[in-house]
Amino acid sequence: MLELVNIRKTWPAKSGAVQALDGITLRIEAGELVTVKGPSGCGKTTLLLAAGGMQRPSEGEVRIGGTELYALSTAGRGAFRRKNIGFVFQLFHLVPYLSVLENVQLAARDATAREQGRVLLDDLGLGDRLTHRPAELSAGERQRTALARAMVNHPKLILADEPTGNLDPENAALVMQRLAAFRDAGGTVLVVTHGTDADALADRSVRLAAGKLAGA
Amino acid sequence: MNVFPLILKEIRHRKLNSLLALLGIAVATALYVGFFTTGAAADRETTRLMRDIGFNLRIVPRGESETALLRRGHAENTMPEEYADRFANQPDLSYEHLTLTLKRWTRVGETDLLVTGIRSMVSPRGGKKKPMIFQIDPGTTYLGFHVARQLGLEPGGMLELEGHRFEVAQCLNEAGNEDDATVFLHLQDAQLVLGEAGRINEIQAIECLCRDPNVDSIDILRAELERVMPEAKVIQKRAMAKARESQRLMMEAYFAFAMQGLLVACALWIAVLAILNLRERRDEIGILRALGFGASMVAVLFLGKAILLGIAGAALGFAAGSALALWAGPSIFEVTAAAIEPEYALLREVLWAAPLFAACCTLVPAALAATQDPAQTLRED
Repeated sequence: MLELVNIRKTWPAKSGAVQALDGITLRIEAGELVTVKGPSGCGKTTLLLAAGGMQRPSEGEVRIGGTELYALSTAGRGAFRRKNIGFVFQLFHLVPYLSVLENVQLAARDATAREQGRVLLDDLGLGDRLTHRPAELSAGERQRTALARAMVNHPKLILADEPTGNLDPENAALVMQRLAAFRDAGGTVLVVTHGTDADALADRSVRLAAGKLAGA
Repeated sequence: MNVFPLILKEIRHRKLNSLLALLGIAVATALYVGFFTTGAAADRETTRLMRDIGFNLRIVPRGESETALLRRGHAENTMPEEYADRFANQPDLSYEHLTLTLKRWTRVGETDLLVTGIRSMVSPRGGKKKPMIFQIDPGTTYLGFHVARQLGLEPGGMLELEGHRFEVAQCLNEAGNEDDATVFLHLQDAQLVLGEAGRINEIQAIECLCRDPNVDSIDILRAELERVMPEAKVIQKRAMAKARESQRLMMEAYFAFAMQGLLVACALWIAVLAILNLRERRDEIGILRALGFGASMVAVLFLGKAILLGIAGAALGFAAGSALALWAGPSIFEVTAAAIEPEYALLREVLWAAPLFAACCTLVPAALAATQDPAQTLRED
């Protein structure tokens, strides 16, 4: 499903180029939940953004369901992302002036998906918070909103960047359970984290250090 | 989600930023509308004043050469004093003041004098207006500065001219022109002294016009006057009309300059607020791009906001500018105060110009938002 082939990403710097990703090759099948672990600054987020079509690698290919992501135009990649990929971030990235429901429906690509957003929020225990703004929610509620937004279009792939980093253990477990349920329904999940919340539910865990992958 | 409600919700959310931007647009629009509304009033006022002022005329003997007249300052020939009465009795003409003069250089001992006889007539419609020039009683004289000094005369003294004696009523201050060498007398006294009984060499008519408001051409006025005064010709003094026209043009140039400065200041104000708005929304832009929204959609969010605020600012500014003109205008333009009213043609103009102006001011911030690398903000977690 998700295929990263010899991904390299180099950042220019005053003291010479920095190799953030150095020949990463990783394949994740549909119905698989994989965690990428590593210390801060090892390139985890860069890997996740490259996998989501948000950060063009210096070299290598990213394929999702057989589609080479960076062969698409910027607009084509955006449309592909909207249809096939869901993102969950540590800091939630909710739009502050939209309600919980509007934040989820913002990502919806059609009327069916918009209705699905309401169902998802109900399912995530936010049925009574639909009209609330992000500022009125707890961290756990915000992340559940972000999770509903990631799932609203029934994507094939969810990319999660430290999704439990700002949550209490109870909410962290809930978020991971939902990601596992998505995986169980045939979806693909890539979680980058330096914590252990995802260990019990992950099918596989790989380690990223100095831009190189170990245990793939 | 539709872009329009998204823009409206953002405007409501970031009230201060939106309000300040709205204020900038509204102030620019209000001053623009206020200036042009009062400008239209100023045009009407000037036109009306120009019409009401009529013409300032010099009526001199027909045979007088214009260049000689200009060189000498007064006519050499004379015409009947009775012309002034003919002028005053013309039913189709009106005037504010008529001044009849008879001037001639003469000599007393070693002193050259300009003997000037004066009679002033005020139009009956002028009511209690005072004559434009001093009134001299018969048998008295006003002496110019140098004449008084050279003849050693003071008020109360006696001046003898061609066998006639006049009491010095007043010695005038130094004027720096021919008045300093002038002996002012009552017209009849001057006619007596100069041997020109019943004759004058100039009538100055101030604010003279045809009574018919549709006929204010100088040519018609001139023809009419020359018909009733066959020995005279009419010369127009344009200085006052030119001064008013110059003043109006100067005010227009000044306001145009001030308006340009104001528009630049407002443009900077709106652009700075848009940049601040962009900084606040970096995170939002990142997630919108992650959700698949294109760069053009992001630009539309910024430009759409500017256009909406532009429309609201235009409406608000038009109301404020018109109110300002209606409030301040009547005290400035007293004659045409009743004609000052909102210029609704301007509303149509500002309703497209203000949004366009706001959108242009937001172009750079919108372009920056559209080209912002979303990965950069999303990596900042």
